[in-house]
Amino acid sequence: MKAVYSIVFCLFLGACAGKQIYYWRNYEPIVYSSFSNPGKQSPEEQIELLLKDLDQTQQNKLKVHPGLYAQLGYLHAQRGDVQNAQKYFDLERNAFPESEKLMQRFINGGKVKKQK
Amino acid sequence: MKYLSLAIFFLLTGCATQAPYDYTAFRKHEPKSILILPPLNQSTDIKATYSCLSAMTQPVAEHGYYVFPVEIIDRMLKENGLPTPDEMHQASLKKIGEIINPDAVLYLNIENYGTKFLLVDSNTHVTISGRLVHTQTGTILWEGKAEASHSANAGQSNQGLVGMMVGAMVAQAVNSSVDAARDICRIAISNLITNPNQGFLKGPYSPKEAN
Repeated sequence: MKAVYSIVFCLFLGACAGKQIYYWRNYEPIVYSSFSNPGKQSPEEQIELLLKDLDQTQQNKLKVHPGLYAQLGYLHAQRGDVQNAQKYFDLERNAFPESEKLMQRFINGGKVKKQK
Repeated sequence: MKYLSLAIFFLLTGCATQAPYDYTAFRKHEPKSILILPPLNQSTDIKATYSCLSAMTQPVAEHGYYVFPVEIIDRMLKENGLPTPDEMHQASLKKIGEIINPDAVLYLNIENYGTKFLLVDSNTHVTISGRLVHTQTGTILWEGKAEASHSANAGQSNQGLVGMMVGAMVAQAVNSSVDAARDICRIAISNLITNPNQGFLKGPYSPKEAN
């Protein structure tokens, strides 16, 4: 029975046989924490956790998952670190061209761009 | 007897009864990026929307899609005069396309979310329905519904495969999570997205294999 559980469990998480595309650990718990308990974790703490994920992603030779760079950019923006914010927004759009329009908007930052 | 239990199993999991989803529109528009809006909440638990939202990126991204960062999007929409999921769901696709530019928008509805405490047991149950809409044309690419539940009475599974999965998940989750319904929600959304012949087609970041 135990074996059945673990097989099912693996199938479920899609974690077996190297099928997972990305490395996931702290991103969703951080998002959950921000929603359920805003301010409990500082941006600095969250950045540190996400940088660990980035490190593990590279060590496991996996791809950086959607949103990881963007979240880092967002957290740096919260600290007022515009340069790092722009750096990570730029990394997000390079990794995922689908995010180009939104990331460009963030990179432009405070400047209000009028829509045609 | 063997056949009977097999038949019951299929009945419970729904494998044998549902015809494959018609993916004509899905194939035609081939979405690459998905905006997951904060789900509507019909349950009595006010935490449901954001507990579930924080458990959705991984299943959808691992299915091969670019998923827009949910927390940033939520904050941006709120700052732009859409404070609730209901209002976010009413935002025009044109506007969403202009600002965020997703290929498709995933509108979800949490129909059920919570734990019922019974005399000798407790049961956590989540039901989610959703539809995926092509941003440019408004075409519905996909619609579906899934549920997951867990009974705290370990081994008392009456849910076939899903029940067993939940049992296995919760064995893991019970000590590490305060919000058990969130883990059940993750399973419900996984069921919704990855269910063969009913869920999403694999996205472009999925390793190449026959769909």
